Amino acid sequence: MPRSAEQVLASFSGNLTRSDFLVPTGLVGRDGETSQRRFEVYRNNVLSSLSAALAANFPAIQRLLGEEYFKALAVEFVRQSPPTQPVLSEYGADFPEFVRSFPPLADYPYLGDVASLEWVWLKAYHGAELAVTAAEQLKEVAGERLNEVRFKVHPTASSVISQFPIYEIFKVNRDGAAATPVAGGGQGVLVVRPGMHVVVEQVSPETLFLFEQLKQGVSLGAAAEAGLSQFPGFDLGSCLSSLLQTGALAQVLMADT
Amino acid sequence: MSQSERISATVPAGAGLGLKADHYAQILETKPALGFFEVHAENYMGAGGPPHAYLEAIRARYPISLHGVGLSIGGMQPLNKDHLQRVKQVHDRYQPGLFSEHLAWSSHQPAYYNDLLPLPYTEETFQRVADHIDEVQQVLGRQMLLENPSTYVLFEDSVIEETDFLMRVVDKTGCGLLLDVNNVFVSATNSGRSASEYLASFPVEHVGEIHLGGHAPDEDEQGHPLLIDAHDREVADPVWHLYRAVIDRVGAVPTLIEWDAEVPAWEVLYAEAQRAQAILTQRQKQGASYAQVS
Amino acid sequence: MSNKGVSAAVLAGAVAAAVISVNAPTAAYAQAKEKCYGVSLAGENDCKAGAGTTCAGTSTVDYQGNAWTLVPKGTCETMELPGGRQGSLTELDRDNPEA
Repeated sequence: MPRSAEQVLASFSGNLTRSDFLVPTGLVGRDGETSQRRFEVYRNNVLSSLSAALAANFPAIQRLLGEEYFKALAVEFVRQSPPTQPVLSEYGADFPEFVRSFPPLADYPYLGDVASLEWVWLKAYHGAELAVTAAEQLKEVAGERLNEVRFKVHPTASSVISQFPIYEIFKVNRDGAAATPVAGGGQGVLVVRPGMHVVVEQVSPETLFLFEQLKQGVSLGAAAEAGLSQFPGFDLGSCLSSLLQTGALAQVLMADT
Repeated sequence: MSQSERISATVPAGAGLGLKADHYAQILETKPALGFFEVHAENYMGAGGPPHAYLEAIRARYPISLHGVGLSIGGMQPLNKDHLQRVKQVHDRYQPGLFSEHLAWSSHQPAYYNDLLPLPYTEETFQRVADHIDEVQQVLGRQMLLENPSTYVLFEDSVIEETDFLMRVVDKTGCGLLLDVNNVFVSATNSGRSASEYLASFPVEHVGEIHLGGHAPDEDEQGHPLLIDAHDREVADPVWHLYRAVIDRVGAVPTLIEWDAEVPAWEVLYAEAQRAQAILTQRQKQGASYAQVS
Repeated sequence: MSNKGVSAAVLAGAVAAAVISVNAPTAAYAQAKEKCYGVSLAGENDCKAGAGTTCAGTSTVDYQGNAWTLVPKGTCETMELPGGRQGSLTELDRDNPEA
């Protein structure tokens, strides 16, 4: 009874990510023999190319763990969560959570947040373009109307907040920055790509709060008020400056213009 | 960059190179003489960013051949419609002179395996492949080229020769063929057959593009050679010989050098392209220019 | 449009200070013309095969099989948890290549 092609391919694919050495039936070498090594070419290519894609998408995690450990971890992830679409630069959305909850890595609780930061970096790298004109536009807004100002946040702008010093860890492991002692505290990070270069900046909790408010479409006046009630000594000028300088606030939106 | 500032889309019957991110800057600085660049559609599917900025700049100066690696045309399940639309977006944006995909599958619900996996050649798979090619050509509004695969195993279920399978697909769909000469050599060697005989029965009159790449030697349990289509080195001498024979037979055809792993310095890559170009130029001087695939 | 907490004058002062401090148009994206930052730091699709028959997936390391014996050997080795155990990154292995 011949098998349908659907059955043949299902059997083939089912064996690609298995951790045993099973070869699908019906696959043979040149003499009609079952060949482990021939099937391994495919299995090897699937697992090594997908783990290499994860290494390219999460280079700081690879450097933190070392190549051997990273590859083994990535293979575990590939088996559990293979890509569901073909674009490899979009593969790994669930990897930060996998790293966070992988039991053997429980002693390294910051890794998941560093992976989240790398994922946000990747999304910014491939994100949509938008010209940054907010600072110039703000100069034209009359003082009494500033409270109504709303912003169009840059489409590539995101924030990651962590109880660990993820900015330092990311910088050292991605940019080859000079090694410095790690500060103990948590860090908030803003990521945006206003041009060709992905900007990664450490920012204050107040700045991130303002960013999230403005991102939700809250007006500048209301966001400033919320900031003041949330943080004693909230410095609107300083927070706004960070958001404008990075390009996270791309454009000014006025209700009637 | 408006499209009117671009060079013509037509890919000439010259040598081209696979575009690697490592070489973007050098290409734009030195503007090397080259027939075309080939890009993988899946690497330009983001909304924006440096890859598009570079490809726009390169497209302004060179014709582009677009090569899909993720449509899974040889799969038995329906094509991924979302992915086909994304291919169309890249296609429409960059207006490639050629579009090609593989006689292989890479997805089986729900997973994408990122490898060009083999299929048995039967009436059932022929029908499915032909349907998929019809769908791709309809969505893109153009002829596509179908590439012969590198294979490491044989299927007991196969009942049609690969060259017959390709010929029938061409007849049924009107697609053209991308002849990967390295794949021919790799598959023939791995199956203990003759690459020359394979090429003798290959419908070369439908070839719109040729691929050349390097392979890595290995062996199976029996000690038989097992060549891996690794694209990690120079094109092997026997592949150059086969290539020259094909070009003598059909005339000059757009020819791509693929080098995707252990990517060398630009100069090394460019020297490989010039080697192919020399063969094409010599053939063109002999006259009998190659007729377009109809 | 009520705005009891922040007066127009305070808002105007903060915005003026912020706008003045921003370099035109922004320092960050003026770098766009420099070399391609991190251009290879993303997974790329290609159509090559991997490195032969020595399979990445057939290592003896298998978490499901409770045989996970690997320990990290990257830069995290020299970086301990903040809070309590103060870590230092001064002894990083600088030879570890960037991906």
